[in-house]
Amino acid sequence: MRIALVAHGFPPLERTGVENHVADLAREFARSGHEVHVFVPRRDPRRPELALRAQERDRYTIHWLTRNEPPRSAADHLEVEGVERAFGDWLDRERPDVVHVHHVAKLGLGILAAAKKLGVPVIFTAHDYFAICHRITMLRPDLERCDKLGDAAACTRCDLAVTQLNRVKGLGDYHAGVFPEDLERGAREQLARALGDPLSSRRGATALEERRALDARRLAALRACELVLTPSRFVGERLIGAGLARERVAVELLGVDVAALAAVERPFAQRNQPLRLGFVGGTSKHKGLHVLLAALEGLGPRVRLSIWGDSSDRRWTEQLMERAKSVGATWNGAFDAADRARVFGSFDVLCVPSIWDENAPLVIHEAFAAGRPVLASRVGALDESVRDGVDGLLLPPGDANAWRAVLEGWIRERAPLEKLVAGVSAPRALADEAAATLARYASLIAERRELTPPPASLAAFHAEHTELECEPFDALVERVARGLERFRVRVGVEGASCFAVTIRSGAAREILDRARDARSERAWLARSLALRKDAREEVARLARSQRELAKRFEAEHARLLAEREALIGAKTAAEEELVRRQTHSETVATELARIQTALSVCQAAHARAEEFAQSNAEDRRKLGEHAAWLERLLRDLARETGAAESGEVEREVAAAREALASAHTALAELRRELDWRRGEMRAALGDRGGLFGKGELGTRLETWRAADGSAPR
Amino acid sequence: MSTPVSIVMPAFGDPELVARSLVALQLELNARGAIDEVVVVDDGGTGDLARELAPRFSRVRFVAQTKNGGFARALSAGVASARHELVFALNSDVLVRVGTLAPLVEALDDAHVFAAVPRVLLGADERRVESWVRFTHDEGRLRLEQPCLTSRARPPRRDCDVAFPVGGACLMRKREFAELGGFDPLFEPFYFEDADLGLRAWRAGKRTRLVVAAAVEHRHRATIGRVASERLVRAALERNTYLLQWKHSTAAELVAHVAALEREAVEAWLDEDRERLEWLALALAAAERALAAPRPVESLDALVRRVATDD
Repeated sequence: MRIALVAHGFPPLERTGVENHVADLAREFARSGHEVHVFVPRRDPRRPELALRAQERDRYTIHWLTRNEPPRSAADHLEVEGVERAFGDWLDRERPDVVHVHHVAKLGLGILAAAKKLGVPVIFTAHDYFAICHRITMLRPDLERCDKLGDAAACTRCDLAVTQLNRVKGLGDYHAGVFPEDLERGAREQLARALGDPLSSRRGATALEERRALDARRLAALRACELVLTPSRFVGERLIGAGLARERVAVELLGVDVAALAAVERPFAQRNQPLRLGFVGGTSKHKGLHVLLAALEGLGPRVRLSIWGDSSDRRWTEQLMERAKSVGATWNGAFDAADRARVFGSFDVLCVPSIWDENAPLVIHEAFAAGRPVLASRVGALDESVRDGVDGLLLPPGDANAWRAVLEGWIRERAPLEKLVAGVSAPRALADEAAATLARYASLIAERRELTPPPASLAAFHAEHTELECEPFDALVERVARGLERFRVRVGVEGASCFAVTIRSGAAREILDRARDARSERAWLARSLALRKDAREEVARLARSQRELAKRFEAEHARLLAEREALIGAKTAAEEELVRRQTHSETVATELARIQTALSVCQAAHARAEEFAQSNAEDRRKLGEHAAWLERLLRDLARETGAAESGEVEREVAAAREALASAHTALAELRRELDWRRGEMRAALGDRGGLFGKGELGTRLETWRAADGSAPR
Repeated sequence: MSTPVSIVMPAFGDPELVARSLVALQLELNARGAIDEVVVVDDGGTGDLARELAPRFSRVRFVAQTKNGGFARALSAGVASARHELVFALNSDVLVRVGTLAPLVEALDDAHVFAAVPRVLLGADERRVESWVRFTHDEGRLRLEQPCLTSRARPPRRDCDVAFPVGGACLMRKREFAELGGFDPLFEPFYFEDADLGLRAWRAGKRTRLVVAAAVEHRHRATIGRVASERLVRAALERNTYLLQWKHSTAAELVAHVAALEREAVEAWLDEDRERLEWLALALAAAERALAAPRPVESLDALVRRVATDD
């Protein structure tokens, strides 16, 4: 069988449980005569992104995929650009009969999609909660355990909380989360707010939509797998609860290399020694080492703790190292799988103080293989690994006092502990797990092959083609080389085939690797060039747009300038007009004053004329009366003197007539003067009327005329 | 009175498809005065198709193959059982238009014409004539060209020579088909058996004519796709391209071709293109059989050029 195993890391670069277990399985499968290829990512800044390099080890082949680019978003964790194609190409070359994925961290769901496209059975082992929790641990960022399944809102709140934590400076690689009490007040409150966010804001609603979409993609990818294995019933039930089909989920207990640990010295081999505890594994917060260290406080040298493991959460690990030092614990750091016997020989009891819902830690089974009992938290699936009171004890997670009480009891009396040692039985062997897994592979492959038998006319060609399709790349290449050599002979061409010579040379693999890198680089360059072209077009578009804007701006500027000039001209004209009007106003005022003066003179003259006219009228009336009297007198005289002295009377009458003529002359003089005065007044009124219209002067003049009896009609 | 024709239709399952094709055919046959016969070769190997359709098409003669043997064998069986000298090979996903047969029959009045093909319109599209086929022979490789499909050339307006009669719809003489040896099993399970037949006819001085007055509609139903993967179908096509070239190359051409093969293998290897390597491996595995035939006198290159220009 040709088996492809996929993991997120591999020894010696990554040395925690899953990675070591995949290496064990690969070795075991190879030992059973199967062809095993392990596809794993690694960071290698010397090589281009997604470059592949093969390495032979323990009769199997490791294919290292270079992954240097870190994810930049939640979506990047699920969909790593280029990996699906790279893995698809690799599958196309290697043609495994089955693909068994142990983790897709650093690789993304494209691994599963590519395997599905190849059409081979795909098996996924859920070593943690990746399948149902994007945080993998079912722990919230405040390190509280989460029991919600398929609750996108809860998962979104975790996203928002992580965003908050990422803003807090100095946390470093905080892994699963941060204890709120380790945060400053402001950060602590923001974390709490994020975890209680009602998601009613626009940002919250958007985050919820994104989370739903990502979770749906992840679940769909896992549902497409033929089989999802899990090492515990606990995790299996959670997977089913989250939406995986029950018939596709199966429990497959993990096996350990029993033989590698069989030779370890039995616990308590030496009497009168202190109680030797061991902690083996990652030292991230959720592994609960801090609980164990707190439990050890005050117990003194009667208990010794050996710590084996490490974490990239440096800030936390350094704190733990300080605390370990204070309780006299030995910090040994990470170790190679080959050193397992020495590690498990360094303590008598394994402690697993985890505060997250553990699955099936291999370290527990390895402890059992070394005859060690286990003191563990009662969390997750640990009660499936540790039989409480038989081969270990289960204690409340995070309760340092409970742990201390047990340890104090064991210090006082070893008998209960020795009873647990006696209760330890051999765990499942790796070979057993490998055999069971191989049987599952074979069954799935057989099911797949039975799917659609071709019609008779196609059977021979189909079989021939299928044989080629299943053949690994190197074998196919060799087949072509042999075919070409035969062809040359058949058509009579002498000499060696250059193709055969090339593919059989020692440099063939290197040539292929470099050609692949070159293709990858070319593709990258093509993408970059395409992006550059797009960017150039965008820049050109922006430049065009800017030029158009500049033109419009210039036109607008010119228009505004012209408008400004027009306004300045209008302003000047207005100012000139103002000055002109002010001057005119002053002229008018002067003229008015002059007219008023003239009017006053006229009024005075008029008054005098009126007065004169009145006296003149009296005089005329008197003269009239006098003339009438004289006439009457003359008529009397004429009658009295008649005939005798008619000459004398006539002289007297002539004298009276002269006097009357003189009076008429004086009256005519007065009338001429009156006319002149009226003319003067009319002229004065005409000037004023031109300026002010008919005003007070006019009114008065009319009154004046009325009184005079000469008002104009 | 027109010459009677035997219409031979190989069919593999899908009775609905066959029935639709027979209904269209019936219209043409009625227009011709019911002088022709229809032979449906049930290639399913079970006789189910014949049992289902026989009651509906009483004038159709069903010939059931005892074992599924593929298109070429079913067609050969149908031709063998045909009662008339003129045989019209017809795919079950091809719909015959009324007036198709008469111009084809007329084209065969010319004794130098081995086969007459109608315009086979892909998806009933007048611009996509599948039966306008020719070969090119560039850089040591023989390549099939369908100008209307590959380069969107305008369809021919006049009758013209083509490289071979497409098996999906062509009229030929039963006697000549037998004289040429029928389809070569080298090309089984499918593809290019008709091309090989056409090239052999050309070598024998017989041409294939595309008759523009005749037209059928190819309602592509991926008959093969139902039973074979896309990769398998492509593999058969590519393998048979090699085999066709090798079978029709002179000894000198084969020697020259070795370098091209080596280059192709190296390129596929460097590109890690296993599909191309698979095609090559399949062809190389069948090379012995392809090269077993006597080497032709006229070079493949000359033949291809003659087909393209001899109009």
